[in-house]
Amino acid sequence: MMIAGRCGTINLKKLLQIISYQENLDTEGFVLKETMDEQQKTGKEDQGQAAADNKQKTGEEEQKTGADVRKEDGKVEQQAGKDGQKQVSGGGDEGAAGQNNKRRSRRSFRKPVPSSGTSAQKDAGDGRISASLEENRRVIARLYGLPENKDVIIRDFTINTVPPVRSFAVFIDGLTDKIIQDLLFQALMAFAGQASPPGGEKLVDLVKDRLLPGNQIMVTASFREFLDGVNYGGTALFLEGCGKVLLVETKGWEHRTVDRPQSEQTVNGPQEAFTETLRTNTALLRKLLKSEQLSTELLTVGSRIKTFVAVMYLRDLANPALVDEVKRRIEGIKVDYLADSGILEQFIEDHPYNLNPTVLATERPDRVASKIIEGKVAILVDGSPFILVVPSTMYEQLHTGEEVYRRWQFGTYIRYLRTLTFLASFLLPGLYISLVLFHHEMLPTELLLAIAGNRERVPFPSIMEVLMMEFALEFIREAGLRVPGIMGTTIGIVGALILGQAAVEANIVSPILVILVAVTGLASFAIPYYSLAFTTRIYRFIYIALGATLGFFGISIGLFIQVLLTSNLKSFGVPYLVPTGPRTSAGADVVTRLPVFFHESRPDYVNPQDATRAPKVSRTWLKRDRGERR
Amino acid sequence: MPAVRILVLSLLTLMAVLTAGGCWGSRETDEVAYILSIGLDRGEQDRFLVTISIANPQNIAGAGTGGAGEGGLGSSVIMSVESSAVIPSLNLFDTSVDRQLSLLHTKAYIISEELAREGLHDLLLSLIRYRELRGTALVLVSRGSARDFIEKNKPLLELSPTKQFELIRKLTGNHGLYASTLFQHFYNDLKSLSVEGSTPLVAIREGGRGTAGPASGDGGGHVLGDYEAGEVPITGGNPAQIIGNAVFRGDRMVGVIGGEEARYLLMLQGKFRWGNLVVADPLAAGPAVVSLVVKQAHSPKIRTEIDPEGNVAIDVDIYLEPEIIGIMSGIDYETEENKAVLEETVSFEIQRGCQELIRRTQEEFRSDIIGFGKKVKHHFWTLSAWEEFRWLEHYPEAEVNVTVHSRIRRTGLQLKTMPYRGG
Repeated sequence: MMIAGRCGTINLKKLLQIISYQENLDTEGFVLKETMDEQQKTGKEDQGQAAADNKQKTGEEEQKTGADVRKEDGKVEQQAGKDGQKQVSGGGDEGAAGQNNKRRSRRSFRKPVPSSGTSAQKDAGDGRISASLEENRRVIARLYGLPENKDVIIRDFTINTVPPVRSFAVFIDGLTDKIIQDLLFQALMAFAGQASPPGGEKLVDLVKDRLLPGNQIMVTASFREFLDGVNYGGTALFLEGCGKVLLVETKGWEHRTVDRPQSEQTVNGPQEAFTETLRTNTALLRKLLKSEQLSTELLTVGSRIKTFVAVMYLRDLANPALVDEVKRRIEGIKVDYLADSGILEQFIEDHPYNLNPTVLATERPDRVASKIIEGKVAILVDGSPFILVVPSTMYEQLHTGEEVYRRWQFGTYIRYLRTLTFLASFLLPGLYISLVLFHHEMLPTELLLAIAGNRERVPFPSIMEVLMMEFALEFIREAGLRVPGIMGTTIGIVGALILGQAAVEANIVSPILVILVAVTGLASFAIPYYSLAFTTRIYRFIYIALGATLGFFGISIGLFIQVLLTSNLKSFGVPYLVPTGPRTSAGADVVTRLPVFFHESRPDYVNPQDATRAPKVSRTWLKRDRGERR
Repeated sequence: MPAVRILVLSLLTLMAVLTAGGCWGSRETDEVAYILSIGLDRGEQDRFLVTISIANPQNIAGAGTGGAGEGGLGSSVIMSVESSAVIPSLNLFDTSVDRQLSLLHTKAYIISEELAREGLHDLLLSLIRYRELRGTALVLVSRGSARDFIEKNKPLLELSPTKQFELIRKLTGNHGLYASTLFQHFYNDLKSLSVEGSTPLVAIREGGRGTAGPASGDGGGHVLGDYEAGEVPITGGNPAQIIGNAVFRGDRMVGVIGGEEARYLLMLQGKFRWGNLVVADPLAAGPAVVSLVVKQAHSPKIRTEIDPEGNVAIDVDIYLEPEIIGIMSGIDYETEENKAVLEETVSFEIQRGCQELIRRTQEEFRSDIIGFGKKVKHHFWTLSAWEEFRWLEHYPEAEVNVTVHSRIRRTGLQLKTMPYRGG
């Protein structure tokens, strides 16, 4: 009774007010999905972390960056665990060793216990490079587990000065560019020719400034930086009598070249795709957006293995609050290894439990560039050819970017076609089953009789028939992905002949259903974003269940719930269904794509620093405007 | 984790809804027998003799399984039973049919003339309430028994027996020889105070060429389609014919109009689209005719007047656009003068026919099947005043004048008739 009364008072005006977009007066520009409860929890976690760190610091005297070092620990520890003797002797003098032993007594004896407090760790943690070559070599051997670890090469040589300076280079085989390295060694060993090199720290400056032709050289005294540099393909030069190391950038590992897009093919537009190399990807983007305002911020994720994550945006365009939020979320990830951007997506998305993806992943640089120029933020993960773009809306996920390259009539036509495929991809089988089971009167008589006649020989109920065919299609899809390339043609034969024709001839399914399932499959393939296509694939089965049990009534219930669930989503503070979810100004490019000269403003929902994309008149060559033409 | 709990809860709710919903309303297509048409006659022992024609989907869809006639069954099965009511009789049929009978796809209700003349209110009232009734089904009146019609009606070109009835609705636009009526419209007309019902007339033709009906001989006044159903002298093919209309007063059938009159009915109602027409050649010496395609240019203009005593005068202007399709005599009707003569002839013919139809409805049937009442109604401010006026009783006394305006705008593919020359 009370509810009914309340509903009665909601008039149209109020309803419109509810669904209309209202400017967020929060200074941040975002409504973070954190509740007070969660905030407290994360705060507590941070405190706990800090407390643990403090404990470590008290255990070890001079450790500066406990968290960073821990990564090294494990490695060294594993190494050390093999010969317990060494470990015990190394750890014996440490303050933390007692704690370490305590733990060991509880656990299995053989298991290496990851903790702080070995001698190698101490060297790295101290971060101070010794002036003695021998001492450095000893530390490096311990850090990298030499000589068992065969990847790390230590190359001894002498710099061709008078008198010669003994030195050695450290690099990892396979990660470095041999040609650049040859050049370095050539310069130092053959052409140096410098008389009376100074000793100590000045030697490093001399080598860096006058002898070494590398394009990026860093001088450091810290083992931590040395390790990071070498691990990422650098070459480190240790000089006799010098407490600093030269890190030369010699990256040059094997990688895939820039190729055509594999999963987002287009007819018009650029045909490049991202690769697995972070620097290639940033360059691909920078190539398109030649601006000093384009920022690339490098973050690292991963406590055991560090993965570089680049955040790219236009400084004068992107909303600073958005950039801060993206960085906050990425920095807040505590994981030991980040393998791919797909994993990062799952860590930073707002709604992990909803089927719809709220982050856009694409492998096409032109598409990312077009998003950055809208004021969005791109997230690049080293080793992943798929770049994340946030915030993302559902309409955007149904775009390919190609519609804009084509003339607007074609683009608009394709968009409407895609709308149809989007709906068909999850509704069609459900609608069919509800028509056949509940709503015979809605079909034309002849179609109904045709369906009925074909079904006469099929021994299964229609729900079984639909499910069998749907699963068969899913099998083909999955098998088609996994089948070895050489046997690819078998999928066609098996799929088309056996499932299509033979199933009908054997009276397992009716031919009309084969058509229906095929159309559904096609519709699903026509959805440009793979994650969204996956969403519809799963929704489809829900609609089949609803259609089979409740008919159109069930399907309407399903649609209602789906709309509610979807309109509740947010992507980095932006409603997922904007500009229809909350009604905002639609702009020229949502479903109907207006001619390019009407694309005057950036999407309203991004709140960019500059919303104007083009002036009212973008074709200034038009001499007369409409008023004068009359 | 609240999110997990919500997920689990919603899944459980979904499962509960789905299992509680339980598919009880669902019916597989192979559990249902679809009745395509129902014939209604007067029963000998009971009120009705119900005849049903059930679709045999195997034969309709089975193009790939060896063609029809294989199993001996046609595309439909015909059965009859006597019963006191129509819908309950379906249960009687179910004693011999293994499937549930459904009226969802019943496209035609064929009522015998005998039953129709007795009145249909007990039949219609019990049908219209039924959930499965299709309001867009056709209502046909059969001369002779409906059972006969269903049994002997063999549409030769159609694989599906219902297609015939779907096409009947469309075909009236191409010749106008009957005014088709849907169940819902027929029912509304019977309830209405301003119009009476009429349904297409069907019959099975029996006998040979000789039994032509009242068609006039050759010569003047020769009009196409002056037949009633069952009288059109066709040999071969499907013996079922549909032409002319049954005229109702209230729920009782009171008479029959022929195909030609059905055209005039449609013209007066403004529903005539086009049809071929034959008029006697006005200028030729011999018994020649001119064939024309007649289109209705736009809806007729109907002006009604009503004086304080309740006398109604109705003026109808019908606008036609004939197009010449054949001139037997070879007279040059394309010229301005001759064209005017031909237009005059067409107008006169049709005007006379319309007046004759109105005279028959006023005097013979006393039934306003044209629906003038819908226009007269505009003179009344309230419904109760209109009800009190009792239009259907006043109609026979109304004065109706019909004027037909014809304009020949096109002369077919020829712009000029040239006489034959030489030998």
